[in-house]
Amino acid sequence: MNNAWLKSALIQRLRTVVLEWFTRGNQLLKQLALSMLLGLLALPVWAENYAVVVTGLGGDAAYSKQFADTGSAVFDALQTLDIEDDRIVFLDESSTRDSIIGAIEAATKRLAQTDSGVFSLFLIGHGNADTQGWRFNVSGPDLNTQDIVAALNPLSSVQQLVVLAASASGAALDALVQPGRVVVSATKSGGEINAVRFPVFFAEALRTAESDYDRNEILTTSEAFRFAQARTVEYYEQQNLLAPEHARLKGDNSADIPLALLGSLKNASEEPEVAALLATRLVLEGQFKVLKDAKSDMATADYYRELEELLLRIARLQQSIDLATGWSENDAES
Amino acid sequence: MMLKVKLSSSRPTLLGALLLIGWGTHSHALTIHYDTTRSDAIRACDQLDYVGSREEALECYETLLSTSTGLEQADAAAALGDIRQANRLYRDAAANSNDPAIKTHWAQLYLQTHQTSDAEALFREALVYDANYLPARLGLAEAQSEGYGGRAREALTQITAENPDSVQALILLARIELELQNLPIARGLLNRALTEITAKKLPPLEIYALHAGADLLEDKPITPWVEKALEYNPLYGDVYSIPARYYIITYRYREAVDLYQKAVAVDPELAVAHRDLGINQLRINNLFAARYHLQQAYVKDPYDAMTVNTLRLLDDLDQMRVSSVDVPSAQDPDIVIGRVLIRLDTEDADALEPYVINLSVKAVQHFSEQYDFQLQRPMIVELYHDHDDFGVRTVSTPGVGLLGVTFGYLTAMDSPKARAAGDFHWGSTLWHEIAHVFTLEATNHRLPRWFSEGLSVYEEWNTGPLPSRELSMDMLAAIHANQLLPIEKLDEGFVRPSYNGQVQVSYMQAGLTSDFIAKRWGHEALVSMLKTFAKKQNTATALREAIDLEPQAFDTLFLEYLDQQYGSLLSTLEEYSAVEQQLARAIQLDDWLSVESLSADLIGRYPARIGDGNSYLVLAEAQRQQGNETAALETLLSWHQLGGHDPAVLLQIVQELRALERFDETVPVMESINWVMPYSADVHRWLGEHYLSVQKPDLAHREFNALLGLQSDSTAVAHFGMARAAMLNNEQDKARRQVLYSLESAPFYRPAQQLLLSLSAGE
Repeated sequence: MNNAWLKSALIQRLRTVVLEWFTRGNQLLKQLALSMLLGLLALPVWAENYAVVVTGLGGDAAYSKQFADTGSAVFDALQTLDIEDDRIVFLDESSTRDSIIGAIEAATKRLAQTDSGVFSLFLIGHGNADTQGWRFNVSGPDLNTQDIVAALNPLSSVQQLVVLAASASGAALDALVQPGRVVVSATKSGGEINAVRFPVFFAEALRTAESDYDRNEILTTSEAFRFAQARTVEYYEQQNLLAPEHARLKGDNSADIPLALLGSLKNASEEPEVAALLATRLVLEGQFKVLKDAKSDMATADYYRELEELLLRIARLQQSIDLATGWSENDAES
Repeated sequence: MMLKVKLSSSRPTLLGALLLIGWGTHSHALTIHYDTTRSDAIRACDQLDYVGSREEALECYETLLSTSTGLEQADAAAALGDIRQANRLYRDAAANSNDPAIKTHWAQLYLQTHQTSDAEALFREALVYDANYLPARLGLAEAQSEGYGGRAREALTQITAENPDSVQALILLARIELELQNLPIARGLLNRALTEITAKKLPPLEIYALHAGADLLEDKPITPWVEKALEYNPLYGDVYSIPARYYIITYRYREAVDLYQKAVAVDPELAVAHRDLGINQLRINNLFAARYHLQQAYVKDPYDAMTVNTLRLLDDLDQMRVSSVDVPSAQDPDIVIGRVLIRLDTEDADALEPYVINLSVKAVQHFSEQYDFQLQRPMIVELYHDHDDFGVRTVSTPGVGLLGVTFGYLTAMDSPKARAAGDFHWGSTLWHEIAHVFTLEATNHRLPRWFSEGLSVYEEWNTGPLPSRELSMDMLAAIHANQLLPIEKLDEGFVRPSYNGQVQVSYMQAGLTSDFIAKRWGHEALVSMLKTFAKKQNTATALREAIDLEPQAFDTLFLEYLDQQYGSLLSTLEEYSAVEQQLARAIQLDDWLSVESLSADLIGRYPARIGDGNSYLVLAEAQRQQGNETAALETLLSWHQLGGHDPAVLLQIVQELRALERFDETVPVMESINWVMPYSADVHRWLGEHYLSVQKPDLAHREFNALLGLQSDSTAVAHFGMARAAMLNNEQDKARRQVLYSLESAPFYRPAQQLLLSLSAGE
């Protein structure tokens, strides 16, 4: 199963909307319509998503459970992106350096056959750093930074996300950062060696609508990172402790890499009526982004007048979507 | 923004330190040398300087610099302000020499460049060569007197007993006695010094200036001393800046500024006067004038850490957000009774501002009535999220261990972000400081330190946002050991503490004293005393007029009161301590039954103890360990009601109350959290929703505004909360604006969408 049905509905809807914009929108919106159309279609949410989720050695039962919970949260979240079942691979505590590299290579082969795609790697567990770089602790020989760099190298043509949810992982940041890749590490350097809390809050971000800051029901990497980072800071403040970990995010486009679909998008079926409504919603969201980008070039009163008009359209449409999908207030957290 | 690195006065190694600092030239400043170890040639140059023949003096020093050698040459370089060369020459002279004079003169160079601890170390080295070497003993006492301990006073008292003709000892001791406002003693010392000066043909300038300071403390004109000094040396600006110091210790910053302005007019090269003028302009909120004079000071003396740090603080002040609030009368909201300017760091301004405004408004309303005084100009409240910035703001103020400081209409303090979470109750500190604004200004700064602090502590205990009135164990021990000062000498406990912790003990004693007066003779007795102080009367007169008691009689009654209040605890302090030790052992053994019994015993003995080492938290843990969760929660609630405010424990109480759906009891605990650690998004969001549910839109707005300020959570939720608060206030336009802001950051936020739709439908 994939999300081609929604992409198709979107293209249909875009044709109509762009035409409408050119006939009734102002000059600024006309100029931006085409770029919006192209931008929407290029969003990674429509791309084929592949992922390898690994939980490393816990060392004791509590950590093993914590890593397994976090891995499950990531796996479940990625499933909502409508990924075909075998595109996401979950490797548990028994995984080894070779099995992880093998899983990445398998994804690489499949991605080579697509025109676009996103590959995500999640390493959840303990890590340590030395002069040779960062190591992710797994059964047998550790997976080291060079292994990860080498395994990801053939994927340079696709968008990548690497999440190192482990201690000392900041040591791998510089080696992994490159164009087209977003890297998240739980620590800022290899010197932050304590077991980290950040992954726990990252998992929480994937399970709560609270982390969907713009409430568009697409949880992005940047939103999940923001949520987890804020919760980590708050955690140490409340414990009256100096924070021993400082998560980092490097790379562009983290706001465009989805981790989960939520709410009505998550529950959407392949019914044509719902698909059409959701396609319209995505178009309106595109219009909204264009309008926001134009804010500094517009008179304040004009901006808010157009914003209100657009927001009312979005709100009415959302009511229709909720009616069609059977979504109710009870499905929402806030 | 400039870096916030502060110059340090600490010295990593003795001989290496001067090399680390890129010392260069320093403007020439008049220094009076009373010791006789300077060479005759250099003393001849000094004499020219003392009478204001500056050019001739400089020529004289320059000649000596080029013609002499050794210590004399180094002294000449120091007098010329060529610090780098002087340092090199002193170092060369000190090599392979056991002459304590060289180390002593070198140490004076450190004092001149504000490196007091380095100077102390060199004076001590000189004393290694000769333990009785008087100039080094005096230098050490002078260096120590720049701190605020009592060691310098003791040392100087001994030196003057052994060397009754030492002019420098007499003058240094007189300075300390003046700070303690022991005027007859100070004058006696100065008169003795004057006699010695005349006999030794030394300049009387400093003595004139200190006499002027004494006159100033007695509200007499200082003109006669000024005329004498300027007649002796027309360039002697210190005749104004030395007395100005005594305005500062009596909190009269505006008057101090006037004197410093005169000082720099007489001698524009006086770097320290420019610095102190700048610092005190800042205290009365004249930022531009402050910057000008601090820059002047920096040009003349770039090594003064106080100048550099204050200039950096000014850069930071430029980045702070200032808001203005008109305070309405509590009785008639249409009457404005004062204005408050609030200056906050931009990083936590949004989160803090609603609370600072709320408390400041309440404080102005309360204190205006309580002390029968209306603000005559805007009151400025500053909260610094960087403790170093706050430290710079308080520089040169006598006293230690401060959380906040008040300079008349300006109050500055740490923001809760400046310290570890829960380290202090910032709401209580702000209340304390605003009380100072009123008591200082109602008396034109004429009240003694003990009374000002006493009233602030009294207000903290009786009307502030924290109900606690816990006396520290140090305070109880001080009462028990008869260490409390007589009321007439209580200021000494603040200004020149004689034992570790005496400042904190003096705060408590002052607070208890004010509390006792209010309980025994009514609050109006305190107001009466305030008015008596405003008429420039002393503590004895104020007591006599307000309660018709002599100080000694008051002290007797006060001790009786303490005995009534704390006698049973004080008489069993050793027993209390023994129970504490038993409790510690029981905890180690996980003997929770004994822990419960012992902690309950300690609480019974001293229920008000809710801070460090309190037994409530231990009792709650013991109850929990034995499965009695309900009793544990009740114990924690009792602790909170008495003023317990550890934020981690408060959050724990909140979680338990919420789980039990005891929401009404949750609210005050959450409010308490915000007065200690106002940075919890969950607390602000929950309180905001609660206040909406009980139709309190203003409080709800405050909470959502603070939530918005945290910038770590959804701005959509915060704006939506403010929109609903506006709806409750029937402010539709405001609600529409806020809901648009909400949806602007989260266009698919359904609750906000629904409100927008309903607002649109309502048109």
